[in-house]
Amino acid sequence: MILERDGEELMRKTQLTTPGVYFYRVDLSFQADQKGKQTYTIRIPAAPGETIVDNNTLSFPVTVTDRRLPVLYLEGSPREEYRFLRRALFRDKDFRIVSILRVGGPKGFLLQGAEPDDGLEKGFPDTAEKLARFEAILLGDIEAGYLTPAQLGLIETAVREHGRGFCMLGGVNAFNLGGYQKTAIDRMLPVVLPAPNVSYKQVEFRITLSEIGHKHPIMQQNSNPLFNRRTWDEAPPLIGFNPIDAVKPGAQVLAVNSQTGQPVLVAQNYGAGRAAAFTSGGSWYWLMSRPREDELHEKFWKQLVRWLAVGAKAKLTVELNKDLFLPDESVEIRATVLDKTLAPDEGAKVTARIKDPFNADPRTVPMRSELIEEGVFTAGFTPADVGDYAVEVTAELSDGTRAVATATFSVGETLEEFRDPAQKVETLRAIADASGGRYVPPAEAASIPGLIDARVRRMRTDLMEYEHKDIWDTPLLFALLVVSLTVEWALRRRAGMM
Amino acid sequence: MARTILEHPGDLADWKHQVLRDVRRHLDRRELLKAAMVGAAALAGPALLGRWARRASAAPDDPPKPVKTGTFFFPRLMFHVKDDTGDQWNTDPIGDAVLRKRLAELTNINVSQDPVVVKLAELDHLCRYPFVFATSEGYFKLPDDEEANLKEFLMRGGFLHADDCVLNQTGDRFFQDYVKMIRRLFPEHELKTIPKNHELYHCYFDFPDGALFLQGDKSLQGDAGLFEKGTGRIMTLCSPWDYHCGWTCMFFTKELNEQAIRMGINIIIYYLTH
Repeated sequence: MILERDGEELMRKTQLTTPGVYFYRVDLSFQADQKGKQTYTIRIPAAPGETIVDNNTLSFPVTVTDRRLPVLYLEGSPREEYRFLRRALFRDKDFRIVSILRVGGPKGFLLQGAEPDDGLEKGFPDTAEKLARFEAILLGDIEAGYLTPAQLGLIETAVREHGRGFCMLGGVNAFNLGGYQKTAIDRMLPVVLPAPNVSYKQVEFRITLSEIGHKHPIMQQNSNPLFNRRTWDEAPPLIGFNPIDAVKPGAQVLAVNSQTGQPVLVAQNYGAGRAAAFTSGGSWYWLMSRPREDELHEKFWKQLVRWLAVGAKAKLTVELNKDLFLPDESVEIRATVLDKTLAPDEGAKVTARIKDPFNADPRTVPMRSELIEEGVFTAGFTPADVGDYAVEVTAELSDGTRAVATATFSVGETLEEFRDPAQKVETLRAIADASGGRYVPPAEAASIPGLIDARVRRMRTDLMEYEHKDIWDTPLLFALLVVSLTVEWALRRRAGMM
Repeated sequence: MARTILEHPGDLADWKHQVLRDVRRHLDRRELLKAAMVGAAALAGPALLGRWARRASAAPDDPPKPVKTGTFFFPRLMFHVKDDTGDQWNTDPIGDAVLRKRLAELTNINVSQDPVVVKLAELDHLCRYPFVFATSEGYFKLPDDEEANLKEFLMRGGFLHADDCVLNQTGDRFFQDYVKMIRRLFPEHELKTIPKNHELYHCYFDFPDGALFLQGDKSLQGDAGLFEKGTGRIMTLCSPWDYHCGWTCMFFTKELNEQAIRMGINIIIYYLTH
């Protein structure tokens, strides 16, 4: 069995057959490492003497999308906090961690985990479109002056208007020490920045969770509240922090410095998104000071980033009833629309644009709200041409924002009659019964001539038989004709007529 | 090739501070050489007193100082070996000092110039320094407890750069023993030669030919790395060609010494980014 992608062989597997066994289940697992739509084909080479080979091939489309949570992390210099935080997210396939690390030397910065489409060759995003590719943004130990005021504004806008998440991490160049006062970032931070001369404290300290913190999703290390509380009570110390004395109204203090009571982790909703401040730059010690099985550090960062990104959760999803259709078969498009609070948005205006295989003018189809299911919109479409189609669904949400989602499908011959070529005994019996015949299994095929003879003989007794014979070309008729002509000749001669 | 083996009986920490003070004062190679020679001369006498003296000096630094956030430490790993070949964990500390200095000059890493020594026998202490450096020209067969600590340290996410201080320009006892031990401790991860196109050789300075040869057995393939299953991250690196002697700026050409320093910086940048 051979697996191919767009004509290129990916893998092959051999399945030994056993006499008398006609069905085999073969698992082919492969890594879909290219984004976009691909056609995969499973092919079984024809066996010697195999008569029906059309059913040895099955093609199916696969659309590979990157649903990893994209996170952008900007860090001011190589430090252990960067290494371990990045590692925590990198090890989890649910995240796509892209980091920009400022370094000295000729390179200026190191870019890690970026894709060409991210457009980060020159560094931190300078347009809203580039920044919109990320659902959470982390600012490490880096001063505000590294970014332009416009870039700082882009971050704030992405959080406030587009539901992105933001977190500032502690360090000697973070918060007040980074000159963030009166910047767009300052407006978004859940803490009040102290005076510029308040320095970073390079000391070890333990944290205490607030009552809100104990229940907050970021801090859930164990589903059992008692175990969770114990985990945090026994958590190793953090190393170093930015002293913060005040938080903004509406912000939630999740954890404080056990010795000084100053906030360490503070979070708040900001516009459509979320913002947090983690005032330490030494959480790596949570990892290194615990046995290798311990997950506190990794779980904490993953949950923090997930919580930040929830504000940016997709508000529109689109599904089709199938991936592969026959020509003139109906395609059903189904879209689900959620508002900012992730509640169904009944007031949204939803349309679907369908691109045919020839890339002609896309057809726009309005989608109707389903009365039974809130926030669900549907539309139907019947494709006429064979090929690959793309569906782009656009939702104008009630709050004026816009969301777009896409799906693809193919129209073509499905070789349905070959899909299950096994003998349908019951169907054959039904046909035989209806037509006066008889079902004979292949093993008894040799008996069929006898059965037909018996059938014919039985019919002879039941019915008058007609036999059609040509008589004009028989020898007897020819002899009679010759004799007649001879007699006529003789009579004529005798009568003197010739 | 001559080696400075610190086998003096008492004030190891004082010695190191003295070396560092000199290093800070004199940045060029000539001054570094001078400082190293002074240090070596100061230690030559006590070193002859024998192994008992070295054992008496086994106590490393003072109790660990608080780790500064964002500060990168370049600690020397103190280890013991099981056989009778001597614990040569403290070879040429001047090389570490020079690398720290150049690291601060050539990168924006917040480098501590403190000559920290960490004991492999003390896991809690070891884990305060996720990056450690070890070198020796001798055999490398660790006691069971230190072997277990090394495994735990690396599994938690620590990184050890082990460098073979090549014996008599060709010996590779440390490299061979280290590779054997790592292969035995981590059968589930792949230990292999790091290819020359690996980002270790290009992440900061560019080394198109991969590992840098200074001295030793040239038939070896180059640096060996333990690649973490699943992520491909290098968990520990063992270099057979004596980068550390290049850092001392005492044994090779100026250009080769500088290349060795730059290779050391690449290793640290790789560690801090993976």
